[in-house]
Amino acid sequence: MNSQPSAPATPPPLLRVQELAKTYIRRGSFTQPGARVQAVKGVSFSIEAGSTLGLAGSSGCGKSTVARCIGRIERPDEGKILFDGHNLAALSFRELRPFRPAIQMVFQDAATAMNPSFSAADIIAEPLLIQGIGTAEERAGRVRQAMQEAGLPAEWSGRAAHDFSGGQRQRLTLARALVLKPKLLVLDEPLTGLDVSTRAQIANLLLAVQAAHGIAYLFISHDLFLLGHLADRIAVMSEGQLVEEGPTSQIMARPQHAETRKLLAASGRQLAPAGAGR
Amino acid sequence: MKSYVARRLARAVLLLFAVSVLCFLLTRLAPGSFFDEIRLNPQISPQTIAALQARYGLDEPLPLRYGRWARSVARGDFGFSIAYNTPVAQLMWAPAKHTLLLGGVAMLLCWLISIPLAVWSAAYERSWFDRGVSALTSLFISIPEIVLALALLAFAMRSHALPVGGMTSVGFDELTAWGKAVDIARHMLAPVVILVLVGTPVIVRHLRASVAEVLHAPFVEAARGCGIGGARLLFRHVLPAAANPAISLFGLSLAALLSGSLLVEVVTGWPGLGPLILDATLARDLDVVVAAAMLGAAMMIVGNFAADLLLLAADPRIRTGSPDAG
Ligand SMILES: Nc1ncnc2c1ncn2[C@@H]1O[C@H](COP(=O)(O)OP(=O)(O)O)[C@@H](O)[C@H]1O
Ligand SMILES: [Mg+2]
Repeated sequence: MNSQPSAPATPPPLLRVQELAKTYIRRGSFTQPGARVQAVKGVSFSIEAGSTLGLAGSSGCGKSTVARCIGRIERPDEGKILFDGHNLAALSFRELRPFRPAIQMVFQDAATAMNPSFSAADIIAEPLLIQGIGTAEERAGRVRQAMQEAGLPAEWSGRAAHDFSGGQRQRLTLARALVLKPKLLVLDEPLTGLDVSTRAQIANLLLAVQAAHGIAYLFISHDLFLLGHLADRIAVMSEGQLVEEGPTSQIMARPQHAETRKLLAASGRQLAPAGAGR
Repeated sequence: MKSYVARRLARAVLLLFAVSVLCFLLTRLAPGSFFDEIRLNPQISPQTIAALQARYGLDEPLPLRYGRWARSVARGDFGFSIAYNTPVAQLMWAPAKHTLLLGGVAMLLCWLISIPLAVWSAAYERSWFDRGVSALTSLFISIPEIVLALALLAFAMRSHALPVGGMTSVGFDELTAWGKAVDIARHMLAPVVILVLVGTPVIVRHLRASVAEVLHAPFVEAARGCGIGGARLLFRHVLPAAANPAISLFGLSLAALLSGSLLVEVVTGWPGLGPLILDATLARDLDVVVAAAMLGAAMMIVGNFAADLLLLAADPRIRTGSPDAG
C-alpha cells in the first residue's frame, strides 16, 4: 500500500482522532436559563484498517457525540478527525460528500433511524442516489447484494421498514451502511434493545461482514463484556473524556481505571445473574 | 376502501342525527320563545298569541315537533324561520355562501403564509428569523380575537382606507365584473386580515414544531450522514414525514370554515352566517339556530373525513380498518 520506501513498517491508521471536543448549548426554558454541556473534551484515539475499536462508557458520557462527530452529523468544536490523510473536522457539508461513502453509521434505534415512509429498497438506494452511483439497474443490483449481505431476503425490498421486526430493521440499517462499501463503520450501540438471541445473530453477522470486507469498526457499547468478544482494542470514556485505552485482553484482565472496573462489574452482573460463576 | 367510505358515511349520518336531536331538545328547552316580545304588547290578546303558537306548532309535544322538523329537513327546507316567514334553507343559502367565501379566502391565505414561515423557522432554528416569528406568534395568540378585530376596525374607520360593513358598495350593480370583484375584495379585506392574524400564529406554531421534530429525528441525521442535505433533505425526507400533523390541522381548519368567522362577521358587518345566527338566537328563531349548528357539525365531519383521506393518500401505513391504525 505505502509507496514510500522510507516510511515506517506500520502503515498510518485508517482513522486518527485528535483532541476532539464538542459543547452543546442546551436550550433554556422559561424557568431555567440555557446551559452549555461539554459532551466531549480532549478525546484522542486511532483505528487501524480492518480492526475493531470498542468504545465503552456509561450512559451520557459522550459516546454518541464522538460517533456523530466522526460520522460528521455534528461538527466538532475542536480537534482533528484524520481519515485517509484528510481532516474531516475542517470540511464543510459539501466538501464532505466524497468522503461519506467511506464512513457509515449504524444507530441504536433502527426503527427511528430510517424514513418511516420509505420501502426497504428506497432506504438502501438513497445513499447511492445522492452519491450519483450507478444506473437504476445497477443500484437495484447493489441493493439486492447489500440485503443479502445483511441476511435479508432480497424479495423483501418492496416492504416498508415498519413491516420488519427489530432485528431485521437493524439488518436493514446495516444494509444501508454496507451498500456504499465503507472502510469504517461507526456502530452506536447497535445491539442495545434487541433480545438475546437476536443480539447474538447480529453480532455474528457483524463479525462475518468484517471478515469478508475488512471493514474497520468503531463499536460503541456500554457493555464491556460484549466488546470483549468483538473488539481488538477497547477505549473507555467517562464524563466526556477518554480514561483508558488498550488491547482488549489487557483491559478485560487488568482494568486500571475505576470507571472500567465499574463497567466490567456491571456487564458481568448482566450476563451472569444470581452470583453464578463468581 | 368502499366499505370504509360506507362505514364513515353511516357514522356521519348517525352523528348528524344525534346532533340534531340534541340541538332540537336543548333549543326547545331553553327559556324564552319567539312570541315573548309580542306578549309584552298589551294590544295583542293572549288568544292571538295562542293562535300564532298553534299555527307554528309551538304548542305541540316535542316528539311531534321533531318529527315535523325532520320531514322538513328531508324536503330540503331545514325548518321554518318564523322571523322571516320562509324556509330556513332559502334564508341561509346566501349568507352561507358569503361565509364560505370569507372563510375560504382567509384559510387559503393562512396556509400560504404559514407553511413557508414554519418551514423556514424550523430549518433555521434559533436564528433571528425563528425568534422573531416565535415572538410574533406568541403575541398574536395572546391577544383576544375581539380586541384585534376592534383595533383593526378603529384603524379602518379613522384612516378611511377600507370600507367597513357589508360586502358591496352603493352602486355595485353598475360595476363591471372586475370592478365587482375588486369591490368585494376591498370589503373583505378587514375581516380577512383579522382572521389571518388570528389563524396564522396557531398554524405556524404547530407546523414549526412538527417540522423541527422531524429535523431532529434520527433518520434525518442518518440521511445527513449519507451526505443528503439542502432541498433534497427538506422535500424528500423531512416534509413528507412532517405532513401528518399538518394534514390533521388542515382538516380542523376545514371544519372551522363555516364557524370560525362568525364573531368577526358580526363585528365587521359581513353579511354571512354570523349576524344571521346572532339575530336568530336573540329572537329565538330556533330552526335557524338548529340549522346553523347542524351545518357546523356537517362541516366538522367533512373536514375530518377530508383529513383522513389525505392522510391515507400521504401515508400508506395508515390502513383502513386495521386495528393498529393511527
Ligand atoms: N443535541 C444535544 N443538545 C444538548 N445536549 C446534548 C445533545 N446531545 C447530547 N447532549 C448531552 O451531551 C452529553 C453526552 O451525550 P451522548 O453523547 O449522547 O452520551 P452517550 O451516547 O454516551 O449516552 C449528555 O449529557 C447529553 O445530555
Ligand atoms: Mg448514546
